[in-house]
Amino acid sequence: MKSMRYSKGQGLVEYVLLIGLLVVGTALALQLSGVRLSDVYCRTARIFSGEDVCAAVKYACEDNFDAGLDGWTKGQGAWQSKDGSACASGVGMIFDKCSADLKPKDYTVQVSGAHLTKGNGYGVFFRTTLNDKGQFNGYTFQYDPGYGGGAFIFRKWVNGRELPPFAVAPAKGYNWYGAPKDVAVSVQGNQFTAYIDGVPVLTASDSSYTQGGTGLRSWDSSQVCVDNFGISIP
Amino acid sequence: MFEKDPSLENFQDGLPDLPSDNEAGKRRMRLLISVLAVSVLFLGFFSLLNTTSGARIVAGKGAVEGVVLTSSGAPFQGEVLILGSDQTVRTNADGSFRLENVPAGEQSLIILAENGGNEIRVFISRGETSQLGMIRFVETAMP
Repeated sequence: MKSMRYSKGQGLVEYVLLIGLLVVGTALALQLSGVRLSDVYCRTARIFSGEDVCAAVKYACEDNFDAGLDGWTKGQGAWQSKDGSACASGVGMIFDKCSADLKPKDYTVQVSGAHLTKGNGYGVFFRTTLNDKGQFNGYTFQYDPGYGGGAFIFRKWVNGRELPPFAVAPAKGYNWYGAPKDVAVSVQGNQFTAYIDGVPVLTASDSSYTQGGTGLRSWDSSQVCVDNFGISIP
Repeated sequence: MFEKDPSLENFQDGLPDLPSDNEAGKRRMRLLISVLAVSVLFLGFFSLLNTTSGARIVAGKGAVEGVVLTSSGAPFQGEVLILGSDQTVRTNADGSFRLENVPAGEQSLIILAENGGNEIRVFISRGETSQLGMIRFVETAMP
């Protein structure tokens, strides 16, 4: 019998090495060209199955506030549960525990049935994280009738302190108090888009923070209630 | 000088056989693996440059200094930091500050007061100190 040691032909190690290098090289090339492997998978699956297997929106975190505010961390002020809604009267901040644990990167945060009845507005936190001193960093989208006669605003927060807006869309004459609104903020990479009732009202880009949870805020004498809250991750 | 060169005695039984196809195939395979390995190394290097931490390692570090004043011209008292790094200092009594070991490239310099802050885009050159001069801290209406 002929020993394997002297058999002719390519070695198994070389084939494994070749395949490994091809896989690593392809993954690196895709990464450099900005193509996500998950997108490639979704496109391929759609071709073979004929269905958009990746399109289903799944809420990674959601709350209808029926069970109170157990799923939230109170940062400041008085947000409280009231008739199946989360309501604030005056200055307050609350942070969603679920998204704080997940620390997602790209997502859409949706706040539905948000009703401002009085005061200078409310905001939605996104990509919010706590530093080792317990101060938070992140962004807010603000629905802000009190800014320059009314505006939609993105602000950045550093160590618990807010900076001047880095994106503003003036909205004088907007019907702020008339009816509940659905507010959504889509966060994809460094691109942020805010929607009110499905209509985009403000876009901006910033690269300071790449991941983090969500929350709600109010200020001054605002009175606001929110019916539902959810985060969908694509 | 010619001791190591083949002599005619080496060929008394005829010319040596050419390498077999298998050996040539192996050589081609090894060449292919080598080329692929080098390509993967290059791709890995560029991928590293694409990451924030990788780019910072390659870019090096510098320093930045300046003097912060309030809108009324008084020395500003507060924190100055580079966003995304652990470089934080408090301003001196005259409002001056200096931050060392700042990653080179475009950075966000943050000036923090008790209830708000300002952001300034600065460019840090490797091995150099960027002089920002006088900076006015702008108090803005915060909700």
